[in-house]
Amino acid sequence: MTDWTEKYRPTTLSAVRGNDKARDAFEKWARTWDEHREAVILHGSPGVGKTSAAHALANDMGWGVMELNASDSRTADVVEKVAGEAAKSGTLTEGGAGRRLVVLDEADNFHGNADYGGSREVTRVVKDANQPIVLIANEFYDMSNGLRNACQDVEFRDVSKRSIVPVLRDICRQEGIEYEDAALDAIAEETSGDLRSAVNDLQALAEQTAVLTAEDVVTSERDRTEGIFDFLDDVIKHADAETALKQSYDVDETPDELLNWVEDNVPKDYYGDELADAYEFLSNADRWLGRVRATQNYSYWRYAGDNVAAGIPAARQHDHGGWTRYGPPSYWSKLGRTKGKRKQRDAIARKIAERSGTSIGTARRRILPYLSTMIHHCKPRELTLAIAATYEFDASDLAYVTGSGESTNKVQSIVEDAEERREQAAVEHSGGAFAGGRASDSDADEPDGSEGSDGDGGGDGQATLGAVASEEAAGEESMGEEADATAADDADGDDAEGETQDVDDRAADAEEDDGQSGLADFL
Amino acid sequence: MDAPLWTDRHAPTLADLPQEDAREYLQHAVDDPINLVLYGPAGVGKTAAARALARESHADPENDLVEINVADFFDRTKKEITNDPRFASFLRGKSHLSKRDMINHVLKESASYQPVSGHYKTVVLDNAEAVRIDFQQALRRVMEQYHEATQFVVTTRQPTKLIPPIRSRCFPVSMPAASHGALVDVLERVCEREGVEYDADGLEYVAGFADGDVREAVLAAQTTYEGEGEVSMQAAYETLGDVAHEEQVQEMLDAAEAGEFMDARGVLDDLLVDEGYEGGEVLEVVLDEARSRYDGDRLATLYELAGQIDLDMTEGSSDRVHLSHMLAELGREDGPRVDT
Repeated sequence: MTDWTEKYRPTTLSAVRGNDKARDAFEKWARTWDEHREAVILHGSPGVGKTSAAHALANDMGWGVMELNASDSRTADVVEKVAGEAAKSGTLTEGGAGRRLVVLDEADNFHGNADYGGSREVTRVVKDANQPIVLIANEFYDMSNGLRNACQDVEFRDVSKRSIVPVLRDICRQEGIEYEDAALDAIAEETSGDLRSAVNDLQALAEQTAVLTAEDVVTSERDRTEGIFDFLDDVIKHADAETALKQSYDVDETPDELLNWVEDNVPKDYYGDELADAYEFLSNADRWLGRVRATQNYSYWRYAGDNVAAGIPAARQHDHGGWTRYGPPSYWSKLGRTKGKRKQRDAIARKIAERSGTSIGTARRRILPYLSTMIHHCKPRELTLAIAATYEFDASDLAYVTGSGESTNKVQSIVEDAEERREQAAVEHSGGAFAGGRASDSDADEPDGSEGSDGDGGGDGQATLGAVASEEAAGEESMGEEADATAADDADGDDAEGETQDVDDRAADAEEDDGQSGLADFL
Repeated sequence: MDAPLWTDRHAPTLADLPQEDAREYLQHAVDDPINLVLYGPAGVGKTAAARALARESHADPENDLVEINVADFFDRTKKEITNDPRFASFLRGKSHLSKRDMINHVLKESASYQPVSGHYKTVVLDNAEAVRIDFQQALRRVMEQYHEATQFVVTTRQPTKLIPPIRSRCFPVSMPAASHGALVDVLERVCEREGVEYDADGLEYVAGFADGDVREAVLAAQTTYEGEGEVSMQAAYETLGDVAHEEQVQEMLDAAEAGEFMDARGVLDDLLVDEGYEGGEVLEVVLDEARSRYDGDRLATLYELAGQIDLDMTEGSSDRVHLSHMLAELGREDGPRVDT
């Protein structure tokens, strides 16, 4: 059986309904094309007759049509070949002389395929073309600015109910269908401006009944979507497997959504062995969904749906009466609710991951929990401060990790101190970099520079620990020497910059500085 | 400003690595650089070993070591990647690239830089199990093109996910889970260096808790110390239960066995959503708990069930469905039933 939307597609522009103004503007564009030689963009909602108008116009004008259905392959090459060629030269079948109307459907998608330079290419082709080009789009403003400026545009508005009804009536007459006027009104009403879907609906209904009544239209609407709550009630409490299965076909949910709904709600009624049995079916269903995902073979969906709809009644062992408060899947709403929090958690994990060289997942699951326990409620403060400074936590990050309130003095003061410490470290770090540069410059003259001993110190690379350990008053002797050596080196640098500090300070700086550059070595 | 975590502060040198074979291979590799695959379970120190290698091979490891965490590329959206400060400098103005092209770009850029010191640099591809096959094909070309000045170190938990051409271009180095004894040694060394009070039982307990995972062991020891001021068995016992969400897991299993399924699933949702557990990790902690909760046939059945659930999760699309299935099985009158 032929598709009525194709069968009754208008062959002449005057038969295009419901958009008289747009139609006239479009026709004028075509008649005057030789003067302006610009392309035109037809834009408007789906199903209002844009493509029909383009084809009808070509027919009226006696032009051939070259259609580039843009949703398939739209690399720059294809656009060039199809649109460019067609626009610049003739084709075999049409000969060389005639005009050709180039129809670029779904032109708003060129933009989406910017990866391939589609939009730019189209703009160029459109500008260079020697043939009239029609671009068809749903979203005018989804198209690139350049493209829009290069073309004229004609807007197609939604087709009013008043214009849809006569079209439907026409078709009914030609197909020999008996109808009530109210039925056509109802169809037009429901399809709200989309002429194509109105015709589709009419065809679907006409196949079912001999005489089209308003009642048919209404009931068919209600039939189409079995409410999910009614379905849950039936599949969980009353229906046998076969009934539930048939009902499931009418539920307007995909099998994965259906599984979520049922899985979330079935434990509100089932318990014990019955629930475990039910879960065996649900688990089966989900494995089928996994296979769909792995193979992209959507025919497996039916097995998922079957396991959900028929499995639950098959598992039922007890009578379940009364009324149960079913609800939308709680897991997904929980995911939605916690989105902000999880995003923050992942941002924190990223900061840790950068530092520790792990993946974000590892940082989140294997490091963050320890961190949270270590500095729970910001204790010990010194460690909390060090962590906040190292990972550049702001107040809300720190509040998340420690479980303390974001606005508390504790958190605020630690974040401030951490900020200060970071700035200090940055200054020292740059100082260290200069010192290091000088040291390596002088390396040629003095092969025994302290830089060398730093790198190889201790043979186990723990040189940097010297600073740490001595800070914690547990320094070993060799490490002490290490720190001294660097201190001396750094002191030279400081002198050269003409800074005056007392020796102790310098030593302390050098220690920290050393710790810093050593740290960098680890990263 | 030094690293606050012991895991960073006491990053191992090659000589510190608890895996003897790896230690030897990598020390050779310092003088004789070749491409390497480091493989082993989580937390054994694969990344740390790669870093230690770079520190000992390069005079300027800060510049001649490039780390690319592949999991962070493939597990995330393009937007997240281009906003990631680690990659942002490479990808500025490149947001139109496909993900595969993005990582290719980052890799080529970093592989093509001249080494700052010495005659080669090291590029570490971390968590390489996440690399899709098509990208691995691209990688093998990059490895060939830049072999003169670039050493590639691939670390992965699943070496079988690497395509043969990559494997054949790399020398495989196994990094098995650290033995209990080796783990205790690591902990002792770290505690000594920190000057932290500890006792043998404490180290044993922490090592047992970490079960071969060096990172976990060191983190656990530090957490214990920060909380209780020492690393003793008592201190570790009290601290580590909180981290492992032991109470939550117990609560979940209690509820499931009592037939309070909705409560059990509520806890499960907390673990999955709030704590960010992955399905496999939930199974892990459940089995940890099960070992102290059950014995004999009951424990065996639970393991069998966990195996089935694990497989189901691999095949299926929603971890929550299958973990809930496990909880429902626990609520059967005669205990869990396993299809064999």
